[in-house]
Amino acid sequence: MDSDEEQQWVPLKNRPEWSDVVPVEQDDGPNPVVPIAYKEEFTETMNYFRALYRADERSPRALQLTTEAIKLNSGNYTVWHFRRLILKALSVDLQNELDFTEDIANANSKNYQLWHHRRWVAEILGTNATRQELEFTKKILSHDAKHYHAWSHRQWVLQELGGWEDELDYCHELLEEDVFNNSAWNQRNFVITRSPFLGGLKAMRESEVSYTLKAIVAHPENESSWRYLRGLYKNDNQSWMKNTQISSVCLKILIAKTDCIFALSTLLDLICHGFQASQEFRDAVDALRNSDLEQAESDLAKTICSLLETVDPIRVNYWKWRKSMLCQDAN
Amino acid sequence: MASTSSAKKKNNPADSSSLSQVTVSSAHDVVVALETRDDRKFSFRVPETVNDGDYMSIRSQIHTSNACYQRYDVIANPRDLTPPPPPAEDLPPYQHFRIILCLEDQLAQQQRSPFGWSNLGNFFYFLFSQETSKKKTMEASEVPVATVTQRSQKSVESQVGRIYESFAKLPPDAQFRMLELKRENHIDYLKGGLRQLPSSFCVLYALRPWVCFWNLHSLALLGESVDAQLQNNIIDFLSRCQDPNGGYGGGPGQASIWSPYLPPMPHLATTYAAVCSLITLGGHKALSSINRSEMYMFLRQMKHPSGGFRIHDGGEIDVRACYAAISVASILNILDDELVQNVGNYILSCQTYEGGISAEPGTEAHGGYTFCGVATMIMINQVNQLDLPKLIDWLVFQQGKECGFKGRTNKLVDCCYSFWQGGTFALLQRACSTIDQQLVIPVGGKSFEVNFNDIGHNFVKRRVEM
Repeated sequence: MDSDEEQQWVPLKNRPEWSDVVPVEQDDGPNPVVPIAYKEEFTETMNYFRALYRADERSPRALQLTTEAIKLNSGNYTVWHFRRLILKALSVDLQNELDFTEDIANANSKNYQLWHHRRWVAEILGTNATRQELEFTKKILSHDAKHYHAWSHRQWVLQELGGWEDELDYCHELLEEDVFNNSAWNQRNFVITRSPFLGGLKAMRESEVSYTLKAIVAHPENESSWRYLRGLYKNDNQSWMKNTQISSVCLKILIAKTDCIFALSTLLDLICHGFQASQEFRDAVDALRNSDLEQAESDLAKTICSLLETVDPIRVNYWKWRKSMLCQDAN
Repeated sequence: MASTSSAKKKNNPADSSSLSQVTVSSAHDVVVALETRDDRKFSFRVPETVNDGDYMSIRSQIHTSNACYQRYDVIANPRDLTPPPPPAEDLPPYQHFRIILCLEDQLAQQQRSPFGWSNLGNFFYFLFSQETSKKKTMEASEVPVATVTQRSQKSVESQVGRIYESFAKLPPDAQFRMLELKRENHIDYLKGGLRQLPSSFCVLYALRPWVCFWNLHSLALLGESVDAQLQNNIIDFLSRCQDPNGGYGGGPGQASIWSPYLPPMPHLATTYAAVCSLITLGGHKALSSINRSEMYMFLRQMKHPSGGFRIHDGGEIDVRACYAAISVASILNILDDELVQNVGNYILSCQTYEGGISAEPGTEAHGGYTFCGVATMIMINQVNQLDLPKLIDWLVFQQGKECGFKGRTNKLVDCCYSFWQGGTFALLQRACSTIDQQLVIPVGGKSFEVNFNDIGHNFVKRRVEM
């Protein structure tokens, strides 16, 4: 209980309810390596934990001890594991566990053990927990919209317990706040490919392409939206290549002359997959080239690679390699 | 509330007649909009009550926006802004004030760098035009607000930019000294860590074999060794972490005939760390301390039908656990079809639409898991199952203009990813011919198996056949 924060820690050896337990010390051997200068509270708590673990005591006091041990070190996976054994044995109301993990998360939410524990609890509670789990992850994400564990847990909840109905809207909300949030785009892909209510990727493709192209036009420098767009055509390169909206947007961005890297790269990929670029595209690309410095190439794809070497200099070697592979591309 | 600026006029070479007394109606989140010379609009939120920390953050954001500002005018110290009573109900939550900043040419020349605001002193000046304050506020959509991603990216770019800038100004010998690896300092630090860690490291209680590994491996990379006594102590310590039923836990348990059940239980990550530590030490004593047949049973127990591995009994399943299991099995020469079965399919299901690999099917492509996934696929001779051109395209874009690597799209560079992402390139060098072939034949068509005959599963199988 957090209200005990202010209280002085009472050593376990001084607590009468623990008088029957013989603590078991950690045995590092005579010549310890990487020894940690544990504080007394930590050492004693773990000594008592070891004793209970060895005796396999699955009691209320053991549960309380795991609480204390976890608060001292939330990365102690053995303590979490034993806690689960105790919870099962005692048939404890697992609603309290959700509160407990939330407390731990408030102290440090980047911890595999607490999220795994939460998943275990939610699995047992089943669909009764759906709403709460979605709220909990939403809360974490409101402080850190890219929190990996939170997203992973949220995805698990959706798949195992449901609650898909509002998820696409939630993604949209997050993207309104920060269109560069790659986690939100990833979640969008997750929803449209897996939600039982939306009909699958192909069914959603048209509306999603619209949505994404709008985002791309607003921020052509946003890598997330470009990759998402490509992801809408997984295993269907021909449809991707034939969608004139996509090549048009690329053209529009090239003509505007700012933030062209992804537009150029996408155009390059389209051409590699058989897109026949009209003179307009050729002209737009040529307008970007510094014709004094760069030689014109007969092949548009090669020209684009050369141009990318200049406008995306950190990846100059990558673009050179792409250029070298061009003659091998099948159309 | 009126704000005045007379005190700072001397810093402002701009036309002071444009200054005016204005009323600031502060609302919950004031958005400051900047209009730049190339007509870009850049904005960020100013909290209702600006304290020193907020002020520094705002100033840093102005610094880091890396734009040429059109004009600025001296108005007020934001610390003088006190929020008046809440405004009328018809005002939306955000009030946008057009802030026009001016950078005179002389000033720009004096500064010589886009980050040079130090001449302006410690004040940040707002212009609130009469017109703007009287007008109904603009719709939020009219002025784009810099997002969290954009702001944090600009901040890191600016910090790194400053370092590169000052580096570039140094003479060559000073540059050399700055870049030189401080070998002796690192060695002292690493050897010290093997001997003692402070109480703040109690968070590593369940990770002590990792500390062994990080320190030992780093020492080995530096070409340094540890003395025989310390080697023996490490071998002894790791033996105490070894579970009688196989695998290594995060710390010493106590294997004795009358108390077989003692924590910590074995964990795949600490197993990886322990085995790698012992391999790094080398020699008969270290290597023979590993119970290979029990290890095999432990790995079989951790194997999950999906093809992945649980990281400990009842623990989480992810690509990291696969890497730990397969690499340990490979290095100990206990890799077999049972362990390999379906691993490739599991990892393939973790290659996302972006091209990188995620922790579990569905989650975001991430550098750490990409390294683990690619390494595992190489070891089981299935790297050709991945869409390598797509993976490479994602990977190359993980390098930021700061030159370091980020872990995920649109996140910040961090030096740990120099290993996870940078290391994946080194791995992919071995798969060059596969990549070339995949670029010609579409993925899903006929795939070409590449034999990595000197590592991994193929090597193991071949030996057995002999």
